[in-house]
Amino acid sequence: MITLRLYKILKQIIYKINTLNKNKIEIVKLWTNASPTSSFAKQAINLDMTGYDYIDVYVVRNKGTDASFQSSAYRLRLPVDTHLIFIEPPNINNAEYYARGITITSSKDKITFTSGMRRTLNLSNLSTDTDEVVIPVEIYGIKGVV
Amino acid sequence: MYALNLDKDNRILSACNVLSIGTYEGMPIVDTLPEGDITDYKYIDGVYVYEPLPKADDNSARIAELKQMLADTDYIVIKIAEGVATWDEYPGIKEQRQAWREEINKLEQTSTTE
Repeated sequence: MITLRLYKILKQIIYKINTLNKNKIEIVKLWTNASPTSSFAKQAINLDMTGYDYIDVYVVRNKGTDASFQSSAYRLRLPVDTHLIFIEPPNINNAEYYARGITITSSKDKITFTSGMRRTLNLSNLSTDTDEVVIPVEIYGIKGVV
Repeated sequence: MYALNLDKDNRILSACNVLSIGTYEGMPIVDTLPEGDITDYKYIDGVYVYEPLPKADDNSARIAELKQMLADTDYIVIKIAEGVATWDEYPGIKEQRQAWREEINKLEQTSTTE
C-alpha cells in the first residue's frame, strides 16, 4: 500500500515537472501608461488576457515625474479573473499619516481600476480622495505559472 | 502612437502606447498627446478640447503631498551633503525640489490671505 502511494506521488511530481518544462513562463507587456504624470480616474482598460495566468500591475504613488516612479513603484500581482485591493502602508511625516490604495479587478478582456484613494490622518483632517495618487504605469501578462 | 481611453463624455481617462500585440477597438489612435494633465481634455472629432475638471479647494492636502515628496527625496540631499553622491547622478531632482518648495510657499501664502 505504501509503495503504491509513493508511486502515485512520484507520478504526480513527474507530471508537474513535465508541465513546467513544456509551459515556459512568459512575461509580456500588455499596456504602458503614456502619460504617468496625469491623473488617473476610475476606468476600465480593455486588454485581451486570454491564455495568461496572472497579471502584474505596476503603480506609482502620486502622479509624478520619473523620479517619483523610480523611488516608489509597486508591483501588484493578481490572477486573471480576480480582484485585488492594494493599500500602501501608512507613512509618518510631520505627524500626518498617509495611506494610499486602489482596487483592481481583472477579467479575460479588461482590467478595471477604482480611483486611487488617499487617507490623510492627522489631528484635524481625516481623509481626502483624489485621482492623483496610485497611478498605474505598466501592465504585464504572465503565462505558464502552475 | 497612442490609444486614448475615453469616458462617455469624451473626456480622456488615460492614454497608452500602441503595442503590436494590442487591440484598440473603439479607441482613437493619435500621434501626440496634449500638454500637461491629459485628463483635463476631451477628445472630440479629432481635436483636443481643454476642459479641466474643477479641482477641490484643498490647499492643505496639496501642501501635505508636496511635503511628502520633499521628504521622499531628502535622502538624495543627505547623500550629496555627505559626499557619497553628486547632483549629476540625480538629474532634475534639484530643480524639482525647488519647484515643490515654491509651490508650498505659494499655497501657504494663499491659505493665509483667505
